[in-house]
Amino acid sequence: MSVPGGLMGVQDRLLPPAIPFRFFGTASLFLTFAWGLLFLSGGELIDYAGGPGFVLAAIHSLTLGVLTMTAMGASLQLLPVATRQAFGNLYLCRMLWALHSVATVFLGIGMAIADVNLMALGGGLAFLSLCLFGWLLSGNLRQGSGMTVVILHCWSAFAGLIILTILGIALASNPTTGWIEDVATAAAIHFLIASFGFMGLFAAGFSYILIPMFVLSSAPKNKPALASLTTYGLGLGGAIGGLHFEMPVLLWFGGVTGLFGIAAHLRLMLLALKSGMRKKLDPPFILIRFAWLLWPIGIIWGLFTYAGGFGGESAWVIFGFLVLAWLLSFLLGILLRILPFLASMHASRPGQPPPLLSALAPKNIQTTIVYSQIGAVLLILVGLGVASEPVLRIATALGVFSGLAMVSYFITVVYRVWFEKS
Amino acid sequence: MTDLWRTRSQLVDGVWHIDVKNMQPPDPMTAILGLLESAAPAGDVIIHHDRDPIYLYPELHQRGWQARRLDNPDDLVCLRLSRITAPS
Repeated sequence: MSVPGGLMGVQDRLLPPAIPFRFFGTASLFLTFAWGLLFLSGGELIDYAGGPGFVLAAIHSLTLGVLTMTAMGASLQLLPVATRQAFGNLYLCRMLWALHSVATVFLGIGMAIADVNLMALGGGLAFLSLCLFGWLLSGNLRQGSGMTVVILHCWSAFAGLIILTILGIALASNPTTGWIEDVATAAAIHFLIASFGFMGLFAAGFSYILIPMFVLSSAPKNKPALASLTTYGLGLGGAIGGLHFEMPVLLWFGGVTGLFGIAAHLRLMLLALKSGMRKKLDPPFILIRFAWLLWPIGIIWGLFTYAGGFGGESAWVIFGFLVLAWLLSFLLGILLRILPFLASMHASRPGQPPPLLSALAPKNIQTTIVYSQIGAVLLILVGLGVASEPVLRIATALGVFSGLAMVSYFITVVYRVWFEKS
Repeated sequence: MTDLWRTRSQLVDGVWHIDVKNMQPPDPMTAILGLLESAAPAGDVIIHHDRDPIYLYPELHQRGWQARRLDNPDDLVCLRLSRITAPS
């Protein structure tokens, strides 16, 4: 017997839309703040070597506020697809958002004005929110079964999350505890684990669902995807070991092996693009391809800088920026593409068709975000390369513009799907 | 163009059936859309699935199809797809 009403059963399988969307909306706000903080930092970025101030506040607004916030929202929304296991406790999901948002604000303000107490408060809250995220994540992964590749990526990212959280707390409290002797090396390891480990593995893992879904291709085969993960993990482990034990050979091994892992992953992604049924890709794919380009370039730049090839005072800053720009560009591309898709899905009602994707996504704002983000990244690289404060100001102003455009994109999608009368 | 749909679908009494159970996401979606775009069925299509294909619905609507849930004891989820607009 047929049951009238088209999409019965869709809603009860999904989280309430307000949960993932609050993460994505907040990430859009933090994107604007992060660029704004970089704008305020002026020329501080050129020879930045660590320590509190606008740059550190911008980095953490970006990593915690944009990247981690997006990863949290995406995990809550997408992990059930891979594990076939829903996130049951919605209260904890909401609490995660509140805790993480407050933590990022306190940490950002504390870092910007170099207030140790605020930094400690923000760091402590961030520790709690990351622990809660880890707990939710591991609970879902443990109970679920399904896509081996995605699940293994998420477990690896979870391991990275634990290490980076402990290391982050140790670094933040080091002025009073003195646990860490070599702060610069510990900070570098913290950065590598946070970017290539935690966030990078999340991005790579969810790519195995999202990219084929966007381009309508088959899921990549398990064997090459697992080979890519193993090689990449080996490379990351080598790089961290090389830094920790001061063994250049191990670091080089790690860097080169990591590049092979990335090449294997990107090959699978490009194969998906090539074999996909959707040939005409949206503007967000320009940003995604740009990010894929930045990923290996960041590592190559880092290795050459380590070898003394790029001797300028901002060479390491450029490395750090390339890494963050890779993650930011990738996640922004994904966010631009997935927001209208999820909104359409959530707006489906029994007996009613979902709104058309093409009617939800404002193409002009999408394109504006894509090009202003790419322009801001390229101009920052130029500004750092020629050590020019005015160029950095223009670049970061463009970044603020892209952030505001992202906020307006988010508001437009939400308005069109839930408030606009058709 | 992916040919996943070829090994998973058959025409029974003039109605296309596609069985996408035990496939990894997004392969079910790709197979179903592959069938709709390649075979261009004139009539309805029956989907035999083991989960509610929540990510499929916006894509179906984009292509002028709608889904209706059927009760079928052999499947966890059984859907009948029918056109809401004439094929162009």
